[in-house]
Amino acid sequence: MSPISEDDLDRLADYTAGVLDPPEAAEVDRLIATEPAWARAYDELTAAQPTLDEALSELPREPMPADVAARLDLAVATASRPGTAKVVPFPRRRWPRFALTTAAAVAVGVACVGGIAALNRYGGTSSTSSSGLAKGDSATAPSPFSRAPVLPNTGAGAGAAGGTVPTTASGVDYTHGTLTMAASTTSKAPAAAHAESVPDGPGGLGRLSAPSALDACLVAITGAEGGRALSVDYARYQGQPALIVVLSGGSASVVAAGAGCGLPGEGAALLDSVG
Amino acid sequence: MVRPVDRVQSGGEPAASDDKALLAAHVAGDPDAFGELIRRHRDRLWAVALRTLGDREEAADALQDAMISALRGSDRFRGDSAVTTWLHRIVVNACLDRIRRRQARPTVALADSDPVPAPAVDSDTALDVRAALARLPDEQRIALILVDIEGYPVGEVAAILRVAEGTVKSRCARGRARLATLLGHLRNPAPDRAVPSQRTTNSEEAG
Repeated sequence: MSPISEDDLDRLADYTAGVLDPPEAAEVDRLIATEPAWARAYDELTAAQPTLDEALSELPREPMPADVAARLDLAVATASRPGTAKVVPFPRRRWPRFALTTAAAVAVGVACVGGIAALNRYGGTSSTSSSGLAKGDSATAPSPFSRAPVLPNTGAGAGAAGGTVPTTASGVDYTHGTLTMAASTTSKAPAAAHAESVPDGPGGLGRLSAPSALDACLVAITGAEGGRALSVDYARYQGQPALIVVLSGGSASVVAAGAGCGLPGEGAALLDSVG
Repeated sequence: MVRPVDRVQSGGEPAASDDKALLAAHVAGDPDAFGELIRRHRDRLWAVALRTLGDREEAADALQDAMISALRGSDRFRGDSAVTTWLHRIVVNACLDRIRRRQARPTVALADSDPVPAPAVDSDTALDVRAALARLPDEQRIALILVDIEGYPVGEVAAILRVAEGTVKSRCARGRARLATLLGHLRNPAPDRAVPSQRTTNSEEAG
């Protein structure tokens, strides 16, 4: 006795689900009654249902892992920020190390919610491309986890006439695990700094929104880690206000600095760094 | 002023109206609303993506793609379905996109992809079921995941997949029959038609 074919198994499955038209159901009734292979398949299939129910119900729950949740939170938080840019300018005389631009900071309007823009040294703009999605192209949004082009050089070493270190205020609460993601996120997201989203108050980052204070902080960070700052994110690290600074050419690629960064005796006030 | 986010968070269980309020708040410019909306449903969305794709990294990427796509397209949500239905539809489509791209790469078939990392306490049965699920046709696997594993009503799954309820029932029944065969509860179908049938019968498309 040969088993029924796959097509017939589909028919039998439809029959058990009650989705066949009456004439088709009647035909399957007849086959089960007259064909041993059909009768056997029907018996086996109906007998297997409780076992299948049990096997499917016993699959372990799949809560989202913490690292995936953090990654998703970061992506959504970054993409949710309104696209009004604000760049903290640094007078050159105050921060020769970074050869800061004398041009006015240029706000880059981003048309779509959460749009991300890159600011170039000439004060022009370049919008991001949708190719930023990590390994994907089904959505139109850039992903903060995909590698973006490095921002234009703002350092003095390049002999630039000027430049800015783009800042953002994502408000994201970073962990060590998500800190590495900041490199790709903040390097392509200089926009969307909102004063109200800078963690302020006692122990907050309000002080560091002043150019001179940020200047001193970045000097302390690059003094400790080397390299130059590519971007700054006013955010949090493990719940406490922190400046997330992406570096290029240093011993670390991203550092989290506490609110005391740049204060006398505090140095860079580093909370964490990743290579 | 009480923002929609605050209003929702002060309540108890998530409600569909709260979801719509969060989405409306997001469209109106509340930068925290969409994140809150996702946090409410992410575990279920994740489970669907993970079980559909069977690969942790692919599922994470698909879910992220889907949520950013939803965020960007939220102003096009018409409100004719629940927000969760809409979110699940976007996730399923993102997963199907990835499966299609993966299948376009001839050396990486679904059944050969990295299996979902199994928890330490995972049973042999669970491993067998997961492996068998991975071998089902995509449409059957997704219907089974949504209805038989995640427990969504057939009507909601029909709305997620934009097919008739009868089609969902057919896909589940066929998937269960194939699963029963793969798990050894049913004799293998005749080898003369060994290739799994993707045939869509009149009954499958019937409501």
